[in-house]
Amino acid sequence: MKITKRSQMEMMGLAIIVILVSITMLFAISFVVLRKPAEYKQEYTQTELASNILSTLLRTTASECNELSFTEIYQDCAKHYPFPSSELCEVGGSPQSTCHFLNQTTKEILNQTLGNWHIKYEFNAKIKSDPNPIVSTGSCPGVKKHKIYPIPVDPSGQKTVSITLDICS
Amino acid sequence: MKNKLKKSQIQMGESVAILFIFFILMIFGFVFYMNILKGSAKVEIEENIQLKAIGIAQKASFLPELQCSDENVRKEDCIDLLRLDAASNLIQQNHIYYFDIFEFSNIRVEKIWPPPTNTWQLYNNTPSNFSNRLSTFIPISLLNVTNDIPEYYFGTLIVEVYKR
Repeated sequence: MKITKRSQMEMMGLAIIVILVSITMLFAISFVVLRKPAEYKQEYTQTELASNILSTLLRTTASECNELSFTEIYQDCAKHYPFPSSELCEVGGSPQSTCHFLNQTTKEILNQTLGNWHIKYEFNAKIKSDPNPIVSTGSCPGVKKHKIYPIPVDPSGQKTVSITLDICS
Repeated sequence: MKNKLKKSQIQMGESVAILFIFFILMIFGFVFYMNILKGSAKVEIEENIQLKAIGIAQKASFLPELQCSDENVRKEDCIDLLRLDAASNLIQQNHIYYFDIFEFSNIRVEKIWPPPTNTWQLYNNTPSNFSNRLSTFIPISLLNVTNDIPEYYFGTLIVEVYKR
């Protein structure tokens, strides 16, 4: 009687070992078979894109605004904001304020790049003290890659315009 | 005697059946293992092509033949338009040399802003049949030094890498 009980216990032990080994094997196989390829390219593109777009945009010169760079145009717009900024630009023969020019061209450039590549984004250019943005386009509610470029407006550095670009994941 | 013979025959039959089942199990195991190996190889190939695409995009964006410089100091994320014109001819003439760098890919530069848009073909080696294509867009400044005041345009470097 005692021998039967002992053998039953041994059988139970063996069964437990077999179950444990099977579960481990299943886990190992599922990790190998169901492993998805790492998204190296997406990660690289998202990280580089926001930074490259902002640096390229701010370096671009506008022949319509006396060959000023976008950085200088943003500075001029922020200097007077929210009051009408100086009409340094000339589009189609008529003068245009720097803020109006920025609003149009920034959206146009982003639409021709990120928009055409079907990449969702959110762009904001705002002065720290002012809740209303100078330029705002797109929306990115979820996970995103964030890049911020602060541009000092006055020599004291108290007034700063922050240009942010979020690339949605 | 007859009984003993029958018993050994049954045992032989058992052994054959066991061997048969063992070999079937072995074949199943081998097929399963090969499938796993195929799956993981596919994943690795996919990762490698992604890394290759990134590598080629990096090489293209840091190509010394194109980069802007000011008194021999390199400017980041910038292409000199004069150099671009010269380099596109040079690359087409030395296609074999640049194949080692860019392999099967299509590299071009597009001027986005100000209008009108313009495209420069830098390198093109598109295979006749390919299974996949990975495109990388790199925003880049295009420097025009032909005017009195140097101008920067908003451009894009487009790198398409093909998987055969």
